[in-house]
Amino acid sequence: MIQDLEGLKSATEQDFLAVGGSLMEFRSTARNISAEITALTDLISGEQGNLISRALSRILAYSKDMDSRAETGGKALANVSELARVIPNAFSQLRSRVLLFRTLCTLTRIETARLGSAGSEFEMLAEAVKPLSESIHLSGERVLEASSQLEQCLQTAIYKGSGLHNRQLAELRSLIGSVMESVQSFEEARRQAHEAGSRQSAQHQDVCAALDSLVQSIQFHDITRQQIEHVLRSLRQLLDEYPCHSEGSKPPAHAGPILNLQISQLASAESMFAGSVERMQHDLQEIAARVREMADNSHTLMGIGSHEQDSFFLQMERSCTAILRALGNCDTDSAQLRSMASGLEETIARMQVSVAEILDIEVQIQRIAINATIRAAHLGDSGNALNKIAETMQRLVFDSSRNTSDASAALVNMTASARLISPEPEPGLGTVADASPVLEEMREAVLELHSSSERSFSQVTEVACLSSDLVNGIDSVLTGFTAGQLFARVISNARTELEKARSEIESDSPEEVSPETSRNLETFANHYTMQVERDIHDSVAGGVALSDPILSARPVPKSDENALGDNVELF
Amino acid sequence: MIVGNAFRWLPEYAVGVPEIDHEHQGLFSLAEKLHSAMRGGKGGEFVNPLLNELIEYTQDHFAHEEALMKRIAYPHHEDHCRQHEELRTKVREMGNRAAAGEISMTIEVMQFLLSWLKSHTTTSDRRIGTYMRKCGLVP
Repeated sequence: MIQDLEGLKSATEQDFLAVGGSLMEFRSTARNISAEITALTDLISGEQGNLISRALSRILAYSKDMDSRAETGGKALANVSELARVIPNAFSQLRSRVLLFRTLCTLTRIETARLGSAGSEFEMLAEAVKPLSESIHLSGERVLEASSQLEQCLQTAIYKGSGLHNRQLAELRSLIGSVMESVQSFEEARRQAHEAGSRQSAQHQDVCAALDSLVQSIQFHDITRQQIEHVLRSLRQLLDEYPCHSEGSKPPAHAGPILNLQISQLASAESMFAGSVERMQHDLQEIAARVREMADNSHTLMGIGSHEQDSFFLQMERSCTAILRALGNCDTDSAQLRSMASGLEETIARMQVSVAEILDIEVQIQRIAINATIRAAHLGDSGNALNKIAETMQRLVFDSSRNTSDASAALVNMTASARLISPEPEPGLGTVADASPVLEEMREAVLELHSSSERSFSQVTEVACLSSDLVNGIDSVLTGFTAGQLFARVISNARTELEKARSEIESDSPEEVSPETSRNLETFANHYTMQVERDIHDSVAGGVALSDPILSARPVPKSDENALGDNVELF
Repeated sequence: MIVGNAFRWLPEYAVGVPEIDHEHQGLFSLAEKLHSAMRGGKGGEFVNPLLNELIEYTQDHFAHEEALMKRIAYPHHEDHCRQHEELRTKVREMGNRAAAGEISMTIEVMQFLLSWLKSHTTTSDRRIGTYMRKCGLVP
């Protein structure tokens, strides 16, 4: 039995060393987990989170502006198409007018010849109008050709442009949807991060408290070791006084009470050891549970459910990918629209040159016709025919000029509308005429957002890994901890043997101890602490007899399991 | 820098063939490198070269493993090869997307790698080691 009790110290020490050795590692891992979660919370709800939130808001504003510009561009394209119908209408009678001009020139020449020298001045009318009408014809042909080109160009542009605009609008709507979804997810994550921040701080405090409690439990283990040491010392002393095999010798009178005291000590050690082991196991399980909660919180914080595909990160990554793709498509569409609008503007500008030429010629013909009317009036009745020709020419050129002016006004409006097909961004959202830098800025904001998402993901992974390591470490310590069972078994055996020995002694010398001494020893056993033992030892050494006052003067130690109390001796 | 066990090759994962084990360690190392880059928010720069390395890895390493399984008459050879084919396809698909300019796929690649390490390298590949030890082919 004594050997078993002696071996108990080394047998249980290994287990406690394993727990003690892991404590620093547990504390450091718990600190790292807490730091990771703090960084993660800050990344979402702190300054970095504000930056991401602002970037998302900026992207949303850009997207909405692009959407509104795409809509304006679509309307502008429709407007150009509507205005373009004016051109062929305006010049639809051009050929017949040129023919009329030619006829009028022929009539002028015939009438001039009939009038002889009196009508010679009208030769100028015929000679001047003929080439001018040819010029009108040529310019008109150019305008009609350009108009036909414009019509073709417009047909293609409207077909392509509508497609592009529709696609761009669809892309932009999906882009806006993605960004708004990201904004909502992110804001929800920020709200959760705020709550998780305070929760994780409390969880970390719980872990630290459990670790402190664990240290205390290990210290309690030392107390029980000291109690066993005391028991062993007393038993050895008793053995010296009463060797088992010496025949005829009687056990000393105090042997029974001493054994009583040691049995009581062993019972106390057993109960204290069991209590501290139970507390230690509870503390370890508490740490593991809190750490699991911390890991779960970080998972919940980042929206990682049982399905990895549903994670906040993948949502954000999908959203970023969709935004980047939509931005790329919008960029391509915008470039095509810009090139198409520029082609339209060039065609319209060419038409404007030809129309201006026609207008200029029409002014010249009108001036000549007015002069001819005046001169015909001077000729009197003989100039009536020429007067009619000049008036007809004036009316003709007036009608033609009105149509040309309508065409010119339509071309001015077309130029303005063509410029709106690919309009500039709103002031404050970009100061550049070209949309690419704006898109580039949006792209950078998305990449920044993705980079933050990456950092958050790796921090959650880190928390998960560290938590898993810590929980595994605790499981391993708990599995390897067999000291509790061993201690209980050895102490129980020892108590049984001591109780048996006490019975034997009591039957050998039942009357040797006075009831008063017995009572005192019983009180002593009940109120025993190491400090009391030291006091008694000092009293005895100082010549004071063992008596009630020594014991009764001392307060009964409270059984506060969390305090080390009077039993702490060596540390 | 703090790194948990997820990116650490542990001796218990050993198949017992040094070449194969060395290649498995290389895969853990690649995952750890991507994790480090992501912690710095620089995963995007690392994804393209990583996927290229993974494509090469699936060609060389899987060929070595498949030859080994054939040599030792591994009973789950076919099922294991099917897993290899799935991984090859996924890596190629992600490689194509990265080559096409998709840059926001770091998290997807990381999750794929973690799942690869968890469900293939430390589970299916480990069974080859268990089989080889059972057959006395490795100590």
